[in-house]
Amino acid sequence: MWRFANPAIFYDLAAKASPWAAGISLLLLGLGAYLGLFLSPPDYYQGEIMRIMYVHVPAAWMAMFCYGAMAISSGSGLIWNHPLAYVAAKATAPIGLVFTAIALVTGSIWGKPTWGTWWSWDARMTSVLILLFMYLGYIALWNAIEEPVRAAKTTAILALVGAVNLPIIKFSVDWWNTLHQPASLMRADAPAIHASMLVPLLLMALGFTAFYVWLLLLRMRGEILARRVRGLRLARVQAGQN
Amino acid sequence: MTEYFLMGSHTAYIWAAWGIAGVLMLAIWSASAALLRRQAALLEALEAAGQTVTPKS
Repeated sequence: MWRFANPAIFYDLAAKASPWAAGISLLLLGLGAYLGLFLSPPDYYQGEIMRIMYVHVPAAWMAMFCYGAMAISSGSGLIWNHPLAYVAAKATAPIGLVFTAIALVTGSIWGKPTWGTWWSWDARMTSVLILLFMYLGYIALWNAIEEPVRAAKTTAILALVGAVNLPIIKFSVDWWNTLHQPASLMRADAPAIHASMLVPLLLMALGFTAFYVWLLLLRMRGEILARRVRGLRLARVQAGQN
Repeated sequence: MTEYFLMGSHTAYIWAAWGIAGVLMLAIWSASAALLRRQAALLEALEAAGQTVTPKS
């Protein structure tokens, strides 16, 4: 297992796995979009506007999943000091940022015709907005610190501290009175959603997950190469000084 | 066919949400692919210039 954590071996594996992740992602997203937009029935209460759910909900799940993955990678980096853990955390941040932005924008668009407002400072929306700022802060901190080891450790601490926001997002609809509806799928009893809507929703969620894996592999390969470039340049500078 | 794309009074909201999501996903994919391409080109250029330096003993 640890053999695959070698950056050179991981790079080759990721290069081989990328086309598979891309194919699976595009297939699932295409199928999920077709079912969600054209074949699933309109909702009894909300009508056609409910079709935004097929992109909004998976994006919101992935926004939280990516932050969780980033926090776990960061924690692993701090404990085992493995460079690939920091690479994974750094590569995940921009992807999570985009998922969070999609969740916020599509939620806002869904909110206008159903609630009569683009935005409300309720607990769910505000905590997701804070998640967006956490991603931005994490990326900004990486870019602000020049020395890579110090940047990795400092951002890892920020990622771990920010993880406290994840349960707040998840349980905000239970802890406070919000405009946002409570969980329909991830609940103790059976999902409160019909199979004709559940199937496209799950296909889109799996498609978003495969999309994340695809981009993660791309970005991690890019970051591994960036480290090699930095190493070569440093060696040249040191050779020039001696 | 048109009826599938016209979803009542909410057509604009639905297509705007899906469209924005698509554009953002395309943008992050494009940026990620560009990052990989840029670093690969940089590394190739450095290696071609013979800058794989062995440290002096």
